[in-house]
Amino acid sequence: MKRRDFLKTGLKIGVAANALPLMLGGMPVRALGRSPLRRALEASGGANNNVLVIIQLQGGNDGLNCVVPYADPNFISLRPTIRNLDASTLLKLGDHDTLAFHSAMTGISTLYGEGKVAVLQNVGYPLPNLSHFRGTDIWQTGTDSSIYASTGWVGRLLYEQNPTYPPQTIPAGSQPLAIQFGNSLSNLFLSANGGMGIAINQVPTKPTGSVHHYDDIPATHATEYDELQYVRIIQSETEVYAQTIVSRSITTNKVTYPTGNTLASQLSSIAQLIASGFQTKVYLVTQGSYDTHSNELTTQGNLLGDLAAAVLAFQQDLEAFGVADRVAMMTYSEFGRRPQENGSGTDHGTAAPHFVIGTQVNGGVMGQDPNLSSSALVAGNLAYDTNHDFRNIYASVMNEWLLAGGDQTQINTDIHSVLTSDANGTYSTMSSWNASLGIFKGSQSAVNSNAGAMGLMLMQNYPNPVYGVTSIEYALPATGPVQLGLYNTAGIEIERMVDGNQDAGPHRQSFDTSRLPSGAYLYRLTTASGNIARQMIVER
Amino acid sequence: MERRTFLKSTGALSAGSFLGAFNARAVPASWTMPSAPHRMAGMPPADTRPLETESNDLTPYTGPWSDTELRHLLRRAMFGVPPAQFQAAKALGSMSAVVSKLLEASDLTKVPLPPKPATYVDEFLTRVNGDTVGNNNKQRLDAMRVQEIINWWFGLMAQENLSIREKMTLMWTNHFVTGSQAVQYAGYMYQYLSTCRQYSLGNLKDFVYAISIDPAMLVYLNGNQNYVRNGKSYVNENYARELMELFTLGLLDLHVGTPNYGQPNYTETDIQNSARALTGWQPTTTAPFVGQLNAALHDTTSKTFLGQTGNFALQDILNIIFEQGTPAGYTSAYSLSQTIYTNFVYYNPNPSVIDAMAQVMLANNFEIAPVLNALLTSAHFYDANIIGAQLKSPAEYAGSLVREFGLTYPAFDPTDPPIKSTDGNGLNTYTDTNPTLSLITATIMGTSQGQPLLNPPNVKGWPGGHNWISTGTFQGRENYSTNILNNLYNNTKQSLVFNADAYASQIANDTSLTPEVLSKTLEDTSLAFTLGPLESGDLNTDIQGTYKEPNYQYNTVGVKSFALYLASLPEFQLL
Repeated sequence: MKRRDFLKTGLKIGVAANALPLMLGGMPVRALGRSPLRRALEASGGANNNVLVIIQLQGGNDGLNCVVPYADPNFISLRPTIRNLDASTLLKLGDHDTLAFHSAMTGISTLYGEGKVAVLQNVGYPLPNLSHFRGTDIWQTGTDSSIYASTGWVGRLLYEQNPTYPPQTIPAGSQPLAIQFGNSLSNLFLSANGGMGIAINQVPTKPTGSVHHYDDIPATHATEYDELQYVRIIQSETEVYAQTIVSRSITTNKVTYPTGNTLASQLSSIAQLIASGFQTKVYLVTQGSYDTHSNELTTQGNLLGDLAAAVLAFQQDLEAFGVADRVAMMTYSEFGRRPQENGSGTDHGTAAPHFVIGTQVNGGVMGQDPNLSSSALVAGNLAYDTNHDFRNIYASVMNEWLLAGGDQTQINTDIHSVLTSDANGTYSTMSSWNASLGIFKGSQSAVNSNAGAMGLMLMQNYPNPVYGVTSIEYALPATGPVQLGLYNTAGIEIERMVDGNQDAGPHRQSFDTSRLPSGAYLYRLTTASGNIARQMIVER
Repeated sequence: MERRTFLKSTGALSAGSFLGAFNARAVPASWTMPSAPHRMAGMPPADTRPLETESNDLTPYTGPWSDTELRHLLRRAMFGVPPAQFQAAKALGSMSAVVSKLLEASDLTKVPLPPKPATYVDEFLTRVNGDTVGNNNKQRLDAMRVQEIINWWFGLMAQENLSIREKMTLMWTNHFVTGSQAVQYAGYMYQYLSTCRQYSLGNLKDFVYAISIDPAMLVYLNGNQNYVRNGKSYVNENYARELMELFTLGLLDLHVGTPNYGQPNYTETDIQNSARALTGWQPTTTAPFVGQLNAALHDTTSKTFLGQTGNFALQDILNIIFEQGTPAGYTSAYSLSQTIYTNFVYYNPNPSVIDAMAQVMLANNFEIAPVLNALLTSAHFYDANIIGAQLKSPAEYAGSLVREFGLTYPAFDPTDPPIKSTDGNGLNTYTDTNPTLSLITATIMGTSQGQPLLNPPNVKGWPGGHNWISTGTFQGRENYSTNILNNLYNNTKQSLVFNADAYASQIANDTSLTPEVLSKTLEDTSLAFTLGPLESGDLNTDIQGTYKEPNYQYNTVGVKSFALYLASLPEFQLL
């Protein structure tokens, strides 16, 4: 590409002053208009106020020593030294006499006894990758192991719900859609629009002091200005969200959390934010390293002890606040570890158990105990349960928890966009997910999110951003009246592209944008089966 | 288009648009919401996109050698550019002379390695296996010694004179990663740092051999627990996997978009068999700290590795690894060149430039300096799109604060940490003998900004790029630059001093030094951007407001205000 072309296609940043609503010398600042259309979108997408707290067990947690098949003779022979086998300390699962929690996991064992822990056995995926980094990417981006994506499954879900985020102006009083504790934002929270969440080390206790004027980014500019704009956006997010958080009274915890336990202190902050009325949908905390090639018994025991103690305190705190019914926790780790020990630890493996925890969870063990017979192992590693492909767990968490109560057709569309494909890429060759594992109580009746059976669909226009003609594809579940309209961000319809009866099945509509000014627009499909809208970017 | 023409045209455009479109105190009446700024739907995600540049190979740069190019080179090669060093480099005259000077340390006879910081780096404090961090006095003492070694190292970065060596040393500790919290022996960490420095501009084949048996690495990736004994195998795959995945071959099938992109160039069986070939290496527990092969612990049976079979040991495995690819060795040359590229040019790799770097590396039998020389004299490196497009790492950020704002801090004190107190369990607390340096390295770079030296988050190292700056770390940067420049750390224990007078007098003070010239020169010292009228206007006002006519003497209050504002600019986060 020649420079001239690049300059033309490079990001054109509008009036940069708008990026910083709080900076303008105390002058009143206009918040982003919340259009009727935008509200309608939010109403159709955000059907509940459920919260998901994701706990990443970084480094590859040894599942066999976490939910221990303690009596399995194969386990005993594969783990002559690296096993948690002391009958007096193992925490047997009351309703499942072949399994016990690691003796350090008293907190999780307690919650299990109260019916608040779902143990999902043998979670994995086809053609597993045993690299820490590739494995982590697969779990976070939510793809087939052969497919590479730079967006995360949570980022894509939040993008489906909030297609215009992040706006050029982050309105004063905004709350983050997602919060991660850590120094940098995980790709779990990345969408095609960039970061859908923020990374913080601790909950801010005072607003950031700095107030900046920014010069406009030149209309044509070199790449360094894209990077500069990234920094400015981060500064804007820092200022707005810090202001939002400190302007509310943050309630204090109702239980005492364990000390010297970073995970516990981060969960205590999350409990405070939830109890203080924050609407943030997804949180991410990370604990590790579980990479126990050596010294596994001590290292993993300490980590699982911290995990269980932190989770118990958090759950009790949420219950004391009276918000526990809308919060669930979920663990993940890049892989389980090798059944055959190496003498002081275990090397990289494949499938492992994972937990979903909360008052609204169907407590108990889901799936079979791990099959450790030599004929069942694959190259020495555990086979995964095809029903527990990790994407089925994501699909069920979306269907039964994060999106529960919403329009089922829309939920199916969203799950398809997150796990199979959207305008920005393909994430799996599979299009059928089991979104009804029954992890949560009162979960919606089994609805298979099958692309073949899917109803109303509205795809991202292509190309996007668009300079001239773009094409919009959509699918109708039934013959009937259809409207496809283009709206500006004030919610005013400026073009009716389709208006009439159309047959069931796929359709494509072309549209020439060359008369429109640069900016973001929404196009909305209105049918008897429901309405969907997406964002379109027009560049001049 | 030449850079100069380009800058001129954007400058003209931007001046117009600044004046026309920008009004800090009003929102334009008719605006549509612009596109999301950092990434847009439909475009390749920014984190996989190389920069668009005119030159996409190692064609030598032949354009003008102006202050802009020189500053760019020095910023990328060092941790901040003091005005005096800029002048010294400028006096060298040409790009090739400056690059040669920066690479001079590849000859250790010309630029010897620094002496040991303290005698305790040769001490080994025996401990009981299974102890956890901090639960006995030897570990506590070692942890404090590690901190002191890091402090000493930051001193080397901050005091380095026209050399790329410390930047390379840091880069290699983020490629051949170990971590002090896992290793826990200060002597091993010092030796490891020394190995990375010794080979930082040397030969990569020799480097990989040395690092494979480096005591810290043997502990960090469990090479010391990879052995056979009495016919029984205790093979630990940890090092073998990362040796191939991260240190040499990489997961890449080289080019984005090819069918096997991102897949391993090796199998799980290759990992297991090479792990057997690496059995038996143990670190010494008296100085000098090296890895030694204990033959009784080495697996002497036949191994099949990457298609070859034999009774392989470490050197055989490395020889085979360094033959992989077409032409022979290309796979590792590409992967290692990518590390250099992403550190010095842009965090997203440019495959065709990296390909050219790999060819240079192969032509020079894996010598590092020729690759750097070609890269740092290439037209690609000086492309207008490259200059200013890299986010500063915390080390670069701290270095630029110290070196460009003329901060003073105490010299490294090599005294062993004294015992401060002993608790009821007999556990000692040790006093930090270099609290000012610890403030910079442990608190500012480590805790608040996410780059604790010698302790990356995992064996892949810090990911860099956008990961350096988040809502969490950005606030850390702002807070600390403000505190430092306000001299909040200037007390007897932690004297980190900003002197506005010393800062401004780095710029030659003569009758030509108008407020505008002083302001612009200090801006150019620290920023890779030409500021627009609003930001530079504010800076100018800071200095000018109290400027003493007619003697053209800057005023320290104004200069301090200027410095505070400059360091808080988003532009200061880029280089």
